[in-house]
Amino acid sequence: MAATTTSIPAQPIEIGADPSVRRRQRIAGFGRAGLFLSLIIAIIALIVLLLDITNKIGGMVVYGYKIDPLTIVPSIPLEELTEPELLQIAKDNVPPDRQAAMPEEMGMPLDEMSKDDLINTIYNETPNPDTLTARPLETLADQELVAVLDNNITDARFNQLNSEQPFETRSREELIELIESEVLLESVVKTWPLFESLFSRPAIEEQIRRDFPDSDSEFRWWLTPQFILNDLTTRPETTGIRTAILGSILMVMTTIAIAVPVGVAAGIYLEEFAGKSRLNSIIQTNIYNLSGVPSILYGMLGLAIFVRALGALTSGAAFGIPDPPPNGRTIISASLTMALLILPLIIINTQEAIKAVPQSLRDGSLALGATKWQTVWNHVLPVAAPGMLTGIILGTARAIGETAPLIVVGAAAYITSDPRGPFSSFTVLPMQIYSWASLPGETFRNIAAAAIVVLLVIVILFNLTAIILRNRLRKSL
Amino acid sequence: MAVLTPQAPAVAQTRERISLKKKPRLGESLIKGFLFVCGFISVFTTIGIVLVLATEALVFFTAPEVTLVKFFTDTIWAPEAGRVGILPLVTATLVTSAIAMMIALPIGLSAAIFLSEYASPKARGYLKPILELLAGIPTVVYGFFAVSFMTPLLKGIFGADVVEFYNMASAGLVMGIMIVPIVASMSEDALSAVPRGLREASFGLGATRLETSLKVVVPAAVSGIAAAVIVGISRAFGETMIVALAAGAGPNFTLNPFKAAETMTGHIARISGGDLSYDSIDYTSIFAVGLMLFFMTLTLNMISRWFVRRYREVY
Repeated sequence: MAATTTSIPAQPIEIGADPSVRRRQRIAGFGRAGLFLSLIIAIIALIVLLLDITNKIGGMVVYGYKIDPLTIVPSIPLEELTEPELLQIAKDNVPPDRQAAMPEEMGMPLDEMSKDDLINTIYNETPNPDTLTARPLETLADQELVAVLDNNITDARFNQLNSEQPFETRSREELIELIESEVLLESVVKTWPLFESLFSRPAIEEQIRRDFPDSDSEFRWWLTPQFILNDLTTRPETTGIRTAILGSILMVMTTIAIAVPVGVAAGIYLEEFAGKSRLNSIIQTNIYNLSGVPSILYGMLGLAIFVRALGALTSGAAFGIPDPPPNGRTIISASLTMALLILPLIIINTQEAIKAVPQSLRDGSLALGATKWQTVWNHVLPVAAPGMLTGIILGTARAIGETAPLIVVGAAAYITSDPRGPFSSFTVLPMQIYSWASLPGETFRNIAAAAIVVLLVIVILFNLTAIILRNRLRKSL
Repeated sequence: MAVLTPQAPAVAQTRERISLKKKPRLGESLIKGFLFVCGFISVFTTIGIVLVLATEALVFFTAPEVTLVKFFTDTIWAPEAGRVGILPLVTATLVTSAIAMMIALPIGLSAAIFLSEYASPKARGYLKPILELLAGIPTVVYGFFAVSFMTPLLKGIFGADVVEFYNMASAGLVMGIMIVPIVASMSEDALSAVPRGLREASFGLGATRLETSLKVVVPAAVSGIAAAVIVGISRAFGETMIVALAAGAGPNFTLNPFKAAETMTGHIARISGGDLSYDSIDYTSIFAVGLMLFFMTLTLNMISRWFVRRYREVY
């Protein structure tokens, strides 16, 4: 031991007078503070991570339109206006230097022009003469709003919207919102982080007034019930993660259905049935090594075997599934891959749980004449169940959050249809986070953060359950 | 004895009638067979991984433009252009992992020493679950954190012209945070396993708690700690999401941590995430990279297991 080699100075020490004692104690104090500090750093890292994500799930935003609203609303032909009205429009819109030049070029100032001259001047001297008399969206009647919508989107989309909720039953505000999102392609052009928006809102509003005088702005949350329930779309303002959540749920449930029976059975075999043969020790070593294989390599296994070699089976084509996907990049391939990935975790936890079962239980059962399997099934497993459950929960949490193998196996980055069963193409929550986080643009960060909150809540709930369950078990044993 | 003696003949009679040989039980054997198959699936998984990586990599290495010498010495990775040097991918993996370990080793080990040697059982009860929560956060979340927090922070500190948008430092630092709980919890297990007697002997000789921890307990647990560090390195090698999001999207032979460079895992993720034709050299090349990665992590894991076994023999 190192303790025996670190020798204490041989010269006699006068107790309490040795100056080195105080120095050593001071060092010990610093050392303790340093050790504690490193733990604090780890905790601060966790807090900063959570704050950074929170900071992006809401905040002030400025909206801009891709299309000028004035170009889509009905406008009154200039000919129908009266002369004073035309004069007013001309005075408001013809640039002042041109107005001053009018007497020279046209022979008279604006005030003296006839109606036709005014119309001509307006057409010649203003940049967008057609929008001058456009009526703002807010002044239109409901019927006219629907007409605007009908004129500017495809018939299919119009009918789809109508069947979701008939236009007659929608309120004015809803209709205007629809026009803004469907026709004007309203989008967020600038965002501010949550905390800045909360604590220095006046400064932000001042900046908005200066830089975006005509734009709408508001405080908005990116994590909303709509975000969780909506379809995936390419626009961060309206997209949702329902498809990804359903994909995650279906994929994880299939994974658990495959991995739990196999993993538990393997754990039982290794603890209760396996002798000390060479084969069994190879299996055991192998399981430990598997738990250290990078997850992306499981993805490559899945790609080569489940997606490519067994493509006919995993796409469902071999089972006569109507309208099968073109390749094996389906939920079942992902689940099989993920099952192999979490298998070592489940096996090792099952083994630990079975090891903790007192030997006397087995002996008692065997002595009463029960067979080996009866003993395991009736006595060992019920006692080991909570411990095995811990492993299953941890495995589930891992499967929910794992991304790398699914990229390789082929989770879609963008898909609009919900998964219908094990043989459909799919996307999962972490995959969406990855694809949004890798896109440029503030708003993609915002929705990635919102999706992360959903993912973290699920994963942390699972992990907490496992931690609490395990701590209870430790106390009861 | 006196009570039992009259019964003795009865036992002898029963022995004649009942055979105590193990009965062949079909159900039991079937169940045992099923359990064995399940146990063996893990071996199939390993064989599968090795076989898949090896066969596809073989296709890659038999391509006319690929030689083993070029694979290990060329400094440009662009398989479709005939340049197949894996060095840029390997150096990027090594740089990000080294940065990660520079964070994870001191913080993880210190946290483990504090938890094992200083913290009261009550404090440990609160602190350990926090570390476990840190360990349970999906890596894609860390990847997001690297892009959205660490990269801007580094740009702010070192200057936007020095630090590229994608850079290895950001990915490495965040990966370090991710590995802290792994190193901490494994080291803590090793430290807790050191017998109390050693500590008490050290205290008895007048050593402070710090001296006892650093000069007695840590050396006694050094093989377990080494195992923890190696597992940490192996995690860093295999980590994908953080480097895929933050380290860069193109192979780059550089040791400058503020430059973008793609790691082995990041490369596999990017190539396989796109539309991939099964006949292309891109497809077979990622399996060659995967094989390389597999051997690197397998070696580390075996060394770590060897350390743990050695350390178990001490007590």
